[in-house]
Amino acid sequence: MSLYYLQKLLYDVNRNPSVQAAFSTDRAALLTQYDLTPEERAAVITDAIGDLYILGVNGQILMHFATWRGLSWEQYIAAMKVALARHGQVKAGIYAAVEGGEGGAL
Amino acid sequence: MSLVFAGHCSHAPGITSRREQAAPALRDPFFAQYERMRVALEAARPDALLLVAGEHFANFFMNNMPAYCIGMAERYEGPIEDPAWLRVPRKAYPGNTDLSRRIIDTVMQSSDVAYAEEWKFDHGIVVPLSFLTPRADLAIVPVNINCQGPPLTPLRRAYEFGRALRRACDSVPERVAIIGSGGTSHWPLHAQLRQDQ
Repeated sequence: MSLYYLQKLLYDVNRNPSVQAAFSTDRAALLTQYDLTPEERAAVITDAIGDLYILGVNGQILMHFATWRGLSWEQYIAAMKVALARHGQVKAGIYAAVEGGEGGAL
Repeated sequence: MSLVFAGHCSHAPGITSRREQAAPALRDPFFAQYERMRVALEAARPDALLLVAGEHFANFFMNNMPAYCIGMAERYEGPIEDPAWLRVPRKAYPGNTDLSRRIIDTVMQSSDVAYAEEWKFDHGIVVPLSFLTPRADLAIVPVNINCQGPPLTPLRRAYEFGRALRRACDSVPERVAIIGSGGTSHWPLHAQLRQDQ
């Protein structure tokens, strides 16, 4: 689990237009600069926002990344709920779900 | 002088970004309270506003995360988020470097606090300011508490930090207002909170 670097990548994308450009131009090349597990890398490559949530990305980082990837708020919430139904619970971080997402997050 | 105003409000981004989704019967009184706070704040004639908010990875990350930080810049800018998403226009907010320095000096006597001469405001600060200082004409001293990247500061230390802020406000000649902003209404009927009650 390299949640630190996964979140660092998304933090950098959220804040830095040049990292956003690198992400848009050659995502795979950008990802080589971060120490990610194959699972984390696949989630970023496929824009799997729900999987990023399950992997533990902090909501304060993920909601802005999801917006940048074009998701509406409703799509963002739905992506997390679909992933929760598939995986059961968040694996790390501080945004564990309550009642399958219906009760908010801790 | 001393502290001339103290208050607290929510700063959830949905307050501005999804305002139309709230029921008017709930939303309108809520916005009316923000307006009531604005009027009261202006009536207190503050020279500066200390705005205490939580870190949302706008300025700091887990490579070097301060438990507490106070801004010491002459000006700030925000929101760092997409303004079209937050529905708060990006603009400059005045700071007061000299006042920040004196407040930090006093807080430092009893609490370890980082300072920052660069600081981007995020929703934790600009959502309240969009209601409370809509003309962005009041000097802001931003104060940040790490509430997202554990290990977090214990609540008893947050309390002591607040007492240090009070002593700092009382030690300067300026008229200072302080407002805390936070997730007071993110999940008021949260399942875990119901159990805890």
